[in-house]
Amino acid sequence: MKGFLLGLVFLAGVLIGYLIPVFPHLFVNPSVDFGEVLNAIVLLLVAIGINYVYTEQSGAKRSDTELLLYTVRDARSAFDALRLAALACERNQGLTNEEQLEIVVAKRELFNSIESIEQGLMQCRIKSQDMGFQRLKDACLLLMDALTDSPYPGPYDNASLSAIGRYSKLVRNELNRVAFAINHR
Amino acid sequence: MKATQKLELNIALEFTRTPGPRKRSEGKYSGEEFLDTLLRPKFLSATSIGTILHVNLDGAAGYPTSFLEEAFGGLAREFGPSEVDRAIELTCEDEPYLVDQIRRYIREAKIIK
Repeated sequence: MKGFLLGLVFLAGVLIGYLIPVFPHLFVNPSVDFGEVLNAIVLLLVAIGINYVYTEQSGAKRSDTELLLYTVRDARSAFDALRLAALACERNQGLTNEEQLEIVVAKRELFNSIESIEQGLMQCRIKSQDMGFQRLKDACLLLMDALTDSPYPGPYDNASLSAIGRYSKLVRNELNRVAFAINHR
Repeated sequence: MKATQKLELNIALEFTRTPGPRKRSEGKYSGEEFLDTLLRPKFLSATSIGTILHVNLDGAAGYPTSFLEEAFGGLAREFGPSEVDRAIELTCEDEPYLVDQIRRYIREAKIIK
């Protein structure tokens, strides 16, 4: 962008340089005020500088936002995997060893992906409390407790299944909220 | 042993890589079994010689809440939250948030009972 702008200024200069001899009455005031010319050049340089700084900053922010949203997508995938593993709780019997393992491994993935978002926010110097990030962590802890605290490893009663459904919805909503908060910052 | 040295307990190496449910009656490698066979004896050994028990949670596939609450909350119910909180050091690189969770189970053990 910087190169493009400088090129544009150069081309404009060259063009005006060619046009002045051809149409002197349009461009040339016989008494050229060099102070005005200098002012115009300074103004142009300031405009280029502002444009450069703004472009750099907005570009970096856009990249940060994309990376942060990528970590949220990662967490969303981990959450979906946990929801899939948790379907086994809906059966009216205890979890098998494989199902237990699947749930605790998926739970670990979800929490570690949530931690990755937090690390990303820190890297971008965003205070996680400004995003209400603790609400997401609390929602995940509630879901984890609903899945792997008593009556784990099952069978799960109606109250437990209802809690799993409720806290799953809460985690999903919190992930969406954090994604929007990152996007709108 | 010097007071600065720590007594080590590695759950994955000394107990299991696949921690199970809360009670023995619910399945293998339960929190209750871990408390009885390893955590309580090592905790008593550590406190008797005035040192810290360092519990390493790395290497396991994952920990159910009920296992951790039964083991660490159970220890706190037996010996008091402040004594257990002071005498146990926790490490978990695999799941860093677990350390705070276990501290919470220890501190809230009395409320749960």
